[in-house]
Amino acid sequence: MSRNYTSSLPDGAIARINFNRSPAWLRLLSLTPMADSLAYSIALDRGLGEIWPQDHEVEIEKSLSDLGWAIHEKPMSDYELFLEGAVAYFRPRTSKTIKSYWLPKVFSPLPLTSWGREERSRRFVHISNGTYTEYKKQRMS
Amino acid sequence: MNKITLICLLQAVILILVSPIASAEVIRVPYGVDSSGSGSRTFETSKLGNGCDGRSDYPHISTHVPNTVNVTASTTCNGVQVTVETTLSRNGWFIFRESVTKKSSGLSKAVVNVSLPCKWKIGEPPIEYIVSSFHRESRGATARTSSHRSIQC
Repeated sequence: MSRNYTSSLPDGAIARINFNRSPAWLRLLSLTPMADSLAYSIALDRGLGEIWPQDHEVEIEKSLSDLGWAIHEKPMSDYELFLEGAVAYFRPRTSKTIKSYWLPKVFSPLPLTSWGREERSRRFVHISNGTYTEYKKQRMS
Repeated sequence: MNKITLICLLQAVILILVSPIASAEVIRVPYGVDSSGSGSRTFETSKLGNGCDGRSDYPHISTHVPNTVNVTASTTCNGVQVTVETTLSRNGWFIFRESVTKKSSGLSKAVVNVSLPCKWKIGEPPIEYIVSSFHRESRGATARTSSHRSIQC
């Protein structure tokens, strides 16, 4: 997450920008060190930013929607947390095939920017847990 | 003949009772916003697993211990021994990354709290914290979770 944007957000807010739904050039910009902060402002203009309260006690100012954020009134659901990689369900082990394990690992973003580190970590969690197909379907389509 | 039928029936009942999928509820839950921003996406919770899960909360500024950032991670699975191992890291240059790792285990639930002292100073950008957890249950199933957050701590 770009540092300029998080510093203006309230303490109890969890903000995410899904560059997976952005055009390839913007995704590339978000993965470029030093230039990534520009990618955040463009992504916000395109409505790719979302904010959740950390818990039920936190209330997020509605005025943040003027900056382009989509505001959620309730904290992340279990399914949102699952997509984020913060919740995982034990499942039978799956085989480490080239298509489902090695190729996604090799083609994960490089951890050079904040978004790159986050996305790489999320993908690694889903690849390891055997839920990458679900993640790809919901977040990358 | 009657004895064999009774045994078969008993086995079928046991199989139904111990099968995790049999107890999974099919409930559609809303999540996120769709491409039009209306928030109408839904998902069947039964697809999520058998009730055994691992969680890594988002790191936050501690309300109990001043000047620390902490995170809670847990593994839950009814009736079996479970383990959770969590690392909380503060992002920096590769060789200067600071991290703390803690491990905990227990029956049905294991919880671990990991903390780092605050380092942020006024005027500086928020610091990126990374949580990475490894969850295991005694029958051999494993899961990984992680979370990222930039906070002024």
